[in-house]
Amino acid sequence: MGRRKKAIVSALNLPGDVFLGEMLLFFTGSTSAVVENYRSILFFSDCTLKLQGAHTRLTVTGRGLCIEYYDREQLKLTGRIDSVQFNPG
Amino acid sequence: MSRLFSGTVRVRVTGGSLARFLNLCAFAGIGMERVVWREEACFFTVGVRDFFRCRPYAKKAGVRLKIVKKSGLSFFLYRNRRRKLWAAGLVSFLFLLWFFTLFLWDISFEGNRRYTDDELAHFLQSRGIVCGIRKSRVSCSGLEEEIREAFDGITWVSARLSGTRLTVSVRENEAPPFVPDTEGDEAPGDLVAEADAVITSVVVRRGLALVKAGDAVTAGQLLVTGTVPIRDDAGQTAGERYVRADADVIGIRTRVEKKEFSLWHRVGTPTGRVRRGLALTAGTLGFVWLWPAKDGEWQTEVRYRRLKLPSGASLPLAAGSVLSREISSYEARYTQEELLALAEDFKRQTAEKFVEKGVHIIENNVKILVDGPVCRLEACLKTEEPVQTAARQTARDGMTPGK
Repeated sequence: MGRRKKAIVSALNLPGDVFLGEMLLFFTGSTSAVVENYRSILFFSDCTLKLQGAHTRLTVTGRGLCIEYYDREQLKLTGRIDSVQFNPG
Repeated sequence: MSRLFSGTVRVRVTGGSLARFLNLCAFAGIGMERVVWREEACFFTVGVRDFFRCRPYAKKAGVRLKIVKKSGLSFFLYRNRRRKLWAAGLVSFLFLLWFFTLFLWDISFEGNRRYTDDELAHFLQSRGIVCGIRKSRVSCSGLEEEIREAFDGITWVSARLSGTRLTVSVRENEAPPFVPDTEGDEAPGDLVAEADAVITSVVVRRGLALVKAGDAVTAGQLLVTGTVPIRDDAGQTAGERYVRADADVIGIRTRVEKKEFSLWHRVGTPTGRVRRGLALTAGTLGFVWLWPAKDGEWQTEVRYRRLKLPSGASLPLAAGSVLSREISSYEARYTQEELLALAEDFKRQTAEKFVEKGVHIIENNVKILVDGPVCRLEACLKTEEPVQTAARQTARDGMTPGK
């Protein structure tokens, strides 16, 4: 079902974040990032932030990370971002 | 803005599951900011109301909350609740600020060219509108009408009060002011050359032209005569009619402008020693404090800055800094470069003076003549301009003004 839905969304050129609930990431250099469509915070420390998305887990690593603001829809992260990793989950 | 009044708290979170606590708060719609991890504890900023709302979730997630900093107006007022004089001072300050905004503290003029700021300010003063009067005494519409009536050349006036400033915008009539005819103006007369010139064009409105384009004339030469002959059918002169000659006789002439000055002048060189001070003005009262000097020659500069409210309203207060530099002055002779610069400046000023009068400048040369301790600058201009000037006709018998 999931694969079929993905195929339909891809064929019709529909936005994945709306129809599949994928996370949206916006970066401003390596010092700021805004994440939309996340489900929950899994882990937070000054060098790691793990977020749960609809189908994937996002891991942001860096130094001096700070959540500027967050709510149910979006989260803004500042600090020095070294890497971003997606894991299935 | 509501957070500014109600206040915010910085909270330290320890123990339990931080992620769960953050998720619970997010789902409850509690807005947290600046969540950071420092020294084995998490810190976040939250509004006072939200702090009380998030306490049950802290219990649920097993975390401990501790307020480490309180900020905002409510906390500030609570902390300073015993400082009554301080509060009275603040209230007095706000009251004085409001009180000062009831008065007019600045008057500015815009768009005036023929009438100077001083002229307009003097007129307003004669109507009782000066800095320091209550704003309620200023009637903008009445003022506009009075200015229009008092100044003939002003065609449009707008007076507006913004803050504590009265801005008077005027628009002047571009046409030259009307000069009433006098009896003498209607008297018959000729036009003669004002100076030696070569005529380039002649446009006669009244009278008879005696010169044409290309003619060289000398100063005082008759250009347009006011004596118009009346001829009969046979072409013979039957009589003469006397009119006031009116024409535009344009010619190329040479003008020489001179300026004399001493080759020696005083030059001040800064020695490097400076004195600083403060300057304050309140209304018409002024105070300047400057560190006293024992000796030497000093050049002092004061820079004022008018105090304004954030809304743009001017206050009758100005503060400034005083900077005094010690100079060592001596007599020096102008160098060749300085003389050239002065000559260029003189040339430019002379040209500007004639351009303002509507004279077309064809050539502009300047000569530097040094005669002992005196320097003379001679600007030689070739200009194209009206060269005629009115001259009275000699009285004749049976003279009748022409129509």
